Amino acid sequence: MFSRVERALRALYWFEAGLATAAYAGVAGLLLADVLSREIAGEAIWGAQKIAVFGAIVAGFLGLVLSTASNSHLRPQFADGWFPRAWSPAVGRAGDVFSGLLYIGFAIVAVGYVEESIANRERAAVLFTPLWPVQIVLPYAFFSSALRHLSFAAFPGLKPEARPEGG
Amino acid sequence: MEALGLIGLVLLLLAFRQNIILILLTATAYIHLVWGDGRISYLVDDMWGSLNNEVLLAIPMFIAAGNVMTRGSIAERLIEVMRVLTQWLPGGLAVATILSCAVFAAISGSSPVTLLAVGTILYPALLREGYSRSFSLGALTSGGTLGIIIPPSIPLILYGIVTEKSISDLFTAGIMPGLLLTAVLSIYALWINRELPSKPLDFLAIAEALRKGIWALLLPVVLLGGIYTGYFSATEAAAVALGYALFIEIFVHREMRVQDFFNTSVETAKLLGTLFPIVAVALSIKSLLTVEQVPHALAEWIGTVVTDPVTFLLAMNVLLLLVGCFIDVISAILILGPLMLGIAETYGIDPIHLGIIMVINLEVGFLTPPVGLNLIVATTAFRESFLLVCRAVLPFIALILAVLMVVTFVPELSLFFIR
Repeated sequence: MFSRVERALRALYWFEAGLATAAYAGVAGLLLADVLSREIAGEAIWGAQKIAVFGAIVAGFLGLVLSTASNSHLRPQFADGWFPRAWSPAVGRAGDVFSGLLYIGFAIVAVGYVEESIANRERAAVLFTPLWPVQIVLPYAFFSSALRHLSFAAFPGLKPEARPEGG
Repeated sequence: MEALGLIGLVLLLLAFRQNIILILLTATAYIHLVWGDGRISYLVDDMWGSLNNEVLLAIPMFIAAGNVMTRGSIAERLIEVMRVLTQWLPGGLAVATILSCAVFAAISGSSPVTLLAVGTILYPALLREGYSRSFSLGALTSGGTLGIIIPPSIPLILYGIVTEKSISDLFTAGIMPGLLLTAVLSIYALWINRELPSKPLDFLAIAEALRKGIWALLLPVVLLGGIYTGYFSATEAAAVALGYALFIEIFVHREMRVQDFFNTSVETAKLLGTLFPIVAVALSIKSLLTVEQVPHALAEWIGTVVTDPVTFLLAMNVLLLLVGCFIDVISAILILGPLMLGIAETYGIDPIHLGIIMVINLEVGFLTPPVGLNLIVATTAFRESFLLVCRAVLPFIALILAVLMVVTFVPELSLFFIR
């Protein structure tokens, strides 16, 4: 069971990492092309900045999941000693259950938000395309993060050593 | 009673080891429920609205440029340039350490990355050449923080976004304080190590080091030159920085392959994933506070307690130094930026100047326990005791605080180039 979950999570990680890389490459390519076009042709590429913004949002929210998967979110650690040290593994697992449930809660709220966006036929400024295909990354990221935390709670061996990003 | 509920909730989340994003999300959801319109969906709405903004594009681009530039041998090349340029000074390697940290931090934009990249090479070298363990640890751990004020600085971008001020102006305003801080730390490094032997200047070595390192050294020049002359906006500068970094690594240094690009993108996405949700939640809190007129009410209340700008500036510095001990720089800037701005404007303090003061204050937070990121990174990377690292940075903290006072009470230092 452990190894099957591990394999599934690893596959999901590489899928999300590939998607984030594609989104990133798209953002970088579009912005560079936009600057070059402005310098050479004297005009910006239509919609480039808006598409780049959407690409950055997708990359950012997939990054939220990738950070969860690699246990690299910023976390205040000064409260770690509030429970006795012997309880640490149990508190860690309870914390992951807590995180999983919170992310599920936010994912449900985000699903409601996307449903409203579809119902109201919300469209992107400049591009006039529907917004929901991009907005769907919000509930996805929350659900996927919840899945990671609940897996860590069930199988603590899956949780990588903390390696906070930032600074 | 509701406020106690919020404090209790945050304490519960801290005790159960939740990350900063979940703490902010949950606390903001509570604020929306209790003091807002009672709908958590507004939180998601605000998050989307905050991120759907072109100005934010500068952040992923600068992070990506930093990540591209910090792969490969850039750190080694920069350190070599600084080493050969300063070896004629007694304590030259100490000065090279500070200068390498300043230049590398300007490129990478990250304090811990600078500490690791420069420290891995220079820490053993400093010990080998007779520099004290305490000085070497202090210089590297503190030098790594210079990147927060030297443009391009992510905290300055965030301050600009959250207060709706010009990021280009903030970058320009950061130049002089950044140079002053670098100069002060370098002079201290020289003074402390004045008894150590020096080596003669080697012009051949300088030429060779410059040949290898010139491309990396030119990045800050291109960026700052472009921004200062008004040729680039911050977002354009970020795109140019990324294009330049990719060009150097692929065509000049030839150290970047497809796999490296993939790894860099994943690392950048992770960093963005820790940053974007915090930005989104913080901007949501800001919208709520603005609607509820909290900054205005706070400014009015403080106005009744503190009557002159000098007292306000001193009190703000003490508050920010305390906050920096417990909260990471990103969250602190995003949450306190709009609040402080509302109050500072009533005392006639320039918003750009305020941003520089805030960022230098929070820079100290990298060096103070319990959450000082550079302290933790240095303890792990150099395998030294936490206490030794904490003691080693004390003189450097004193110097940064002295510069902070100068920057606080001499606004022209920050505002000279933008007026």
